[in-house]
Amino acid sequence: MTDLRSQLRMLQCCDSAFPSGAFAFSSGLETLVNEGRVKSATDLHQLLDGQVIPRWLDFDRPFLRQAFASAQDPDALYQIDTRCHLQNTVERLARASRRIGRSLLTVHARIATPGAKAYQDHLRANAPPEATGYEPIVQGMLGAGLGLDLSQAEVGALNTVVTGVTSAAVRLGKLGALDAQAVLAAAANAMVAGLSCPAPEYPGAFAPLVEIAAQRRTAEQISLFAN
Amino acid sequence: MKSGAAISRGRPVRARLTFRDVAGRTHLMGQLTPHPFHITRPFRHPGDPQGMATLYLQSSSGGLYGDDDLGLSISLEPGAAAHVTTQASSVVHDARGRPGAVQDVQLDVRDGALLEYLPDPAILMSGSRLDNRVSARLEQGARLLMADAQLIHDPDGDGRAFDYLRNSVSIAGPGGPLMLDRFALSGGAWLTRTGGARCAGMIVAAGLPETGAPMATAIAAEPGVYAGLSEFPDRDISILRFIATDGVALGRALVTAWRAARQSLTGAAPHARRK
Repeated sequence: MTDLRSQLRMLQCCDSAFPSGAFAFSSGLETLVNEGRVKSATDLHQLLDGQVIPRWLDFDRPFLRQAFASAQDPDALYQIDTRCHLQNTVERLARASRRIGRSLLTVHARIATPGAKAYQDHLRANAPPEATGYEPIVQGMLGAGLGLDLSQAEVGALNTVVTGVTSAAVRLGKLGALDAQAVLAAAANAMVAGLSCPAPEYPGAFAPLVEIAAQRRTAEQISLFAN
Repeated sequence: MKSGAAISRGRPVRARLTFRDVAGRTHLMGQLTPHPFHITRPFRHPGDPQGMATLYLQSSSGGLYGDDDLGLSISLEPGAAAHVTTQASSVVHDARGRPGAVQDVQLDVRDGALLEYLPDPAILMSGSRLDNRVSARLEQGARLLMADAQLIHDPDGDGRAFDYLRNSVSIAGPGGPLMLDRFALSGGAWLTRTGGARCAGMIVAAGLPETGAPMATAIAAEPGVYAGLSEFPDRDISILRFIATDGVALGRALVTAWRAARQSLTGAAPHARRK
């Protein structure tokens, strides 16, 4: 049974004010908005249900679960991180995942979340400089460190992704604040349904629309988000 | 959905092709092509990379069936160059209650060799089940351009999707694994994941850093195609991922990307592969 302190820590980490760095990424949404593929709250809801949530469930979730189970073993975490690296075949989404992982590790090491400093030190000592920890691996490790149960760690991580994309839609001017809350409420159905199913045995996702969108912006384009 | 290692009850069929460079010309030096595998004789085209042989793979069975267990190994010995393609798309038939087809392709590209492995897309018919695996092993200086694409087809127009697709593309270099792209998908989720496109796929270029951007630029001009390029300079790999509205657009995308890659590689547009 997760205690109240752990629940409070989860709420703290999932709060939009928590400096995870996730605010800098739109997961391809900015391109889809600019190309006219996402124009409304309905479009965003479909994108979340059809692409963003399934991609997290199929790809990030198994990695998070593996990391959660190996949270006490930095070397095992790094091996999972390396597998995540090899499977992250969408360059900008991979880069975003690493930057968020690095930010999470930095902040949690600073506030002494159990496991964060040990994994950060392990990466610095054993990994190439760019290997700063992928988001789901760091989230899984931190979830265990915060004393969450696995289900809560999953809920927190998926919620971060969904609220991040929805928040990006607001900042892109495609959604009002109230509409955003309606989208989040509706997306909860797909989140619950997905999390209620067994996690895939192996990580691997098929969400080509958002994956392609994340890669399409050229360096010359002025953008609000890094992907 | 589990990714089982051996799901087919059919008799395993294993084909093997070996290409070797002999005095600057690549020859098919070894072939084992049991039914349903069939091949043409090797061709040569002016303007191809030095010594390159072109070979068409064919099927004498009319596609992949629900209990097929097919394996194909293509080996290029040091310095060899080959373009391996198919005569047409591979139809993956309705499994009709059988466990599903397995197609396992292994590409072994040795020192300094160049392989273009560009099969036509798999056509996933209603009710079909496919476990498709492509794994490549590259030695130092090896180069690989490979395509992996699928399209869905519902011949009765009743909205019945394919049953499942388990797809895996992996590449390893001299120092170990370089990439693994893998997914498992129920047919009912295809159109949602692609945003309504009936076709999807990717072209992977390994050891060919000059080809990624030209392929992406060329394919961007193709109507009905939506594509994005990922480049991983640390592993010398580029992945051009695309979706397409229909088979015609998909076919054009594959040819256009290949021609752009070849143009950047040799400075000349390749001779069309007639099918």
